[in-house]
Amino acid sequence: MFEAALQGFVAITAPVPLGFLVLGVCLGVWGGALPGVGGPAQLAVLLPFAMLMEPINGIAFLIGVTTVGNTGNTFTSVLMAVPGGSGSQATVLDGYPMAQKGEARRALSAAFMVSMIGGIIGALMLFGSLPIMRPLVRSFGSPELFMFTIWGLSMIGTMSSGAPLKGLSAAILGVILSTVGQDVKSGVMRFDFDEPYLWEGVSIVLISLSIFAIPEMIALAARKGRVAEVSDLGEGGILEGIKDAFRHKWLVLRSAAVGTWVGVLPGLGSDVADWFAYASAKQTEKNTENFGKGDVRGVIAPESSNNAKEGGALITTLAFGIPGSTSMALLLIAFMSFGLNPGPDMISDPAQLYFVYAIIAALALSQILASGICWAMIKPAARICFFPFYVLVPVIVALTFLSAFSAHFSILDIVALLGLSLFGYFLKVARWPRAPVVLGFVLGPKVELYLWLSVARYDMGWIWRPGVLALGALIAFTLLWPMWKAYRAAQVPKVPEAAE
Amino acid sequence: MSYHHHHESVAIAKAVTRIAAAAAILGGTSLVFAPQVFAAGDFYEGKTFTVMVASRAGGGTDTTARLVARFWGDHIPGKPKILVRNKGLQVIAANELHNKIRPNGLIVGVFAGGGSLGPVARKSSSVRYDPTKWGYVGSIERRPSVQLFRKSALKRLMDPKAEPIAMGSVSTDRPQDAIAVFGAEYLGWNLKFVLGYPNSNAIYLAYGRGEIDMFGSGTAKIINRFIKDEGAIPLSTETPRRDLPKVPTFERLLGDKKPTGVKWAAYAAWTGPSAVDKYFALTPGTPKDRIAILQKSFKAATDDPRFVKQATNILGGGYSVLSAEETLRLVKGAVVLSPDALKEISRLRKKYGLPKVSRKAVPQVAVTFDKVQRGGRILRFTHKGKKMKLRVSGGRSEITVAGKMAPRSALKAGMTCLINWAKRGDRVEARKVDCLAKVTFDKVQRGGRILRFSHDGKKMKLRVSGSRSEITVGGKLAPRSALKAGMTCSLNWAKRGDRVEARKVICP
Repeated sequence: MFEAALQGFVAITAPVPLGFLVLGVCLGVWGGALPGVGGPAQLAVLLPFAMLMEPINGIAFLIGVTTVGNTGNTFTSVLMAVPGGSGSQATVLDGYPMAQKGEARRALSAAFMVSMIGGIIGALMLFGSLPIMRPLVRSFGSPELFMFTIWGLSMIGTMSSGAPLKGLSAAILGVILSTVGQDVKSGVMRFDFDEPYLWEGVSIVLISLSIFAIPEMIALAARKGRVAEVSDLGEGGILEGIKDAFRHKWLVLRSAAVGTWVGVLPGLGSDVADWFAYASAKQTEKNTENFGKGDVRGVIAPESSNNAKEGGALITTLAFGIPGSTSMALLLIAFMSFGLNPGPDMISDPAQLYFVYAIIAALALSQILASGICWAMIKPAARICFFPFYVLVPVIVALTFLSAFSAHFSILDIVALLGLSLFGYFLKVARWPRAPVVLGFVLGPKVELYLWLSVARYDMGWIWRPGVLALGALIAFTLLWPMWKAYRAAQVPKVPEAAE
Repeated sequence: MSYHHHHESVAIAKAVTRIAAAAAILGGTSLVFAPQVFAAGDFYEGKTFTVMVASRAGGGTDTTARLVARFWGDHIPGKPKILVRNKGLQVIAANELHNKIRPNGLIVGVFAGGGSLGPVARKSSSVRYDPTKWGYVGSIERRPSVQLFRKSALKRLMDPKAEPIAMGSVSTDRPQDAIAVFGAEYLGWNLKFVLGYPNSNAIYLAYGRGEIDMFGSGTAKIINRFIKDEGAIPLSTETPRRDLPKVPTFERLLGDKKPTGVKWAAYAAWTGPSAVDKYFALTPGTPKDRIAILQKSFKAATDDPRFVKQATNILGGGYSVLSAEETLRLVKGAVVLSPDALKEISRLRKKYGLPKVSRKAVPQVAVTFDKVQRGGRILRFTHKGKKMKLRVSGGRSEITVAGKMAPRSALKAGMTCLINWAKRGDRVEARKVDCLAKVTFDKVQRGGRILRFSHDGKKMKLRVSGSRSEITVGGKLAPRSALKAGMTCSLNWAKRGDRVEARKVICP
């Protein structure tokens, strides 16, 4: 095994494959930084070219493109409140407020550092767990996946900024929005109003842009100011960000573990990794009153997890031949065209094992390269915070429209964006928490699907499965622990202030 | 000048004139026809050819489409750029192909038979396309579906008192679903259906987890893997497979319990749409020369040794490539479903708890209103000799006049409209009221292909398609050439790309 690992590492670091890896990373970072360009759309365009390459070069190129998008899309999330991709939505919650406080460099630096660490942890998990992951993944069926989605929804309270009822209502609205379109199980069209555009449902791209990006741009234009509400970014932001990553090392490791695990479970969807990590951080960290107002931990948690999940996602793709996301599905097609057979055979066949370790090495190297490229861009990028609103707002709105159009390539995407943006702006003005809407939208279909499958398969007997009971206990803990902490804090007598 | 000299000059002049005239005619003719000769070959040069996949990325349809797309561009004259685009749902992509895409041969749709033809056969209300009118390039057929099930579950298969075997599926359009239902109905299989898995990969994982005990697949790679690694047993196959000669077909498995008549027709109808596996189609009206180019290049691409190697690796050996003619023949057979067969399928689906067949779309009929009462809330007209009274709802009824949304008050007596309705409690309510504009043609050009008239004070130019526009004159279907200037007809239209095209033209 170690011989194969060494061979894989040596193969990927040869000049030509390394060159393709660098090219792939550059394209992946660039695609990630531009909303609507990166992710599966970019991969789909580049796939035909990659499939013409020698296998080792193609693997290096594709891994470089696929696994670094979440590093690149931090720029727009922090500097413009525009989620660059599905993996960086949660980053907006604290990243943008940090930019407003003049801490953009610190936020970006911390994000890239933990992205690198999280990505390497994901690669290491992939390296160490391939032989043993099959029985572990197989032990999670539809009932257990349903409980995971409920666990995700239970975190809404932590994201509701002290207004749990509003947070719950917002999440319910998000779930309702997710029901629009055809129900695949029964073929029934829901809330389509006989309009073909709505048959495919509302796109997550439109939801995240209209909930976060447009309302922030409206607010910026109304304020007639700049993103940064300070006059100077100051020095030392980059170094401070690096220190933050090590200061909160346990949070980085925990978030990476969450991300890897979410990536491993096919069907949970990689766009929940950052939310799970964010909510988990808010529940478990001390003094979280500044979360949502520019706390660097609110950037560290999602950024560490969304890179770690790439390693997790590759585990099921390689070990089972089962992709957990669209990007992994496209990668699988490419691997098969290179003559690889993802699945149990790949792990046990020495001729293919070498490629497996080349993939792992490529994954780790791409995380380091991507972070390095992004670090070099921090200083010039952070200056965006000082652009006047009349320069920034039109550019960002144009980028948002472009990104929205990539949902279905229809003019109705723009119409939907405008309509949903009104809704997002109303939420902002009325001080309703917006993150629960997105979380409800993302988790809603999964909750419905796994509950349906669980009942169809097991009737109500699924409730008594050991995994379900264990996860139920975890959910109860998640809900009750903050209440217990608050109760204990209230019990501690306050020390009276000393008299003058 | 002498007399002879004069005549000679005149003769020369005449000859030169004739030669010049001939040259002009020949030159003009070549100018007209030469582009036609070269247009077909050079058309795709510098262009982008889009492969629109009617499924999400990563599934069987997407994999097949991308496999072909990878080599297709090399074989199309002009070597256009190939772009692969995913459209989430089969029906949506099919509607788009039929109604929105320009017939210029630059976009081809890739569909799976079950998901795109099944709704047509069942007359689903969401279907707004006619696949028999499409231009076909060809199709790729993987092998027939094999029913795989868990060895340890064998004892439970025929024991109605034991826990049912869980049959996993994405939807119920696939042949394996029909086999499972008919197996339960006629062979007494002890089954329960677990539907709704998002894709085939989720089904494979569910089998690995022990969540389901039975599923179906046509891909040789998957079948071999599950037989070899997971201990699955192939129970039956849809039609004979050379790689599994000992596995009986479902028909043979049924033996003397095989149903006959309408019941067997129902089975054939249920599995029919999937007889066409992954097919490549162009929008109606695509020029024949471009269809021919794509057919030829599709064959060349699928004969390409590089494609054969990749396809064998990805799809497994034994796939076959069907020609355009064979594909169209299969499509035509797949979309025909007799009412009795549909009734039998509905009965079985209800019995086994499967989703109901989609509501049969009530076709729109052309009627002329005798009376319109209460501001458009009540319509009275005669249909098939019967007097009818229809209610029009402000919220549920969709009303258009000359293609534009309109309120109920816009409906007037004497209007000719296309209308369908449904029962709502004890009332009959209009669902769609599509009123035609009454116009008199100022000009009819190019044999009925272009109509010019005034409407609402504006001059309009409408195109009439040979395949998409429905023309009736005196109550009978008529060709475009039957349209003449001065005729007063009721018609409606829709935008198609940057053109406006007539949908229905009803002339007295």
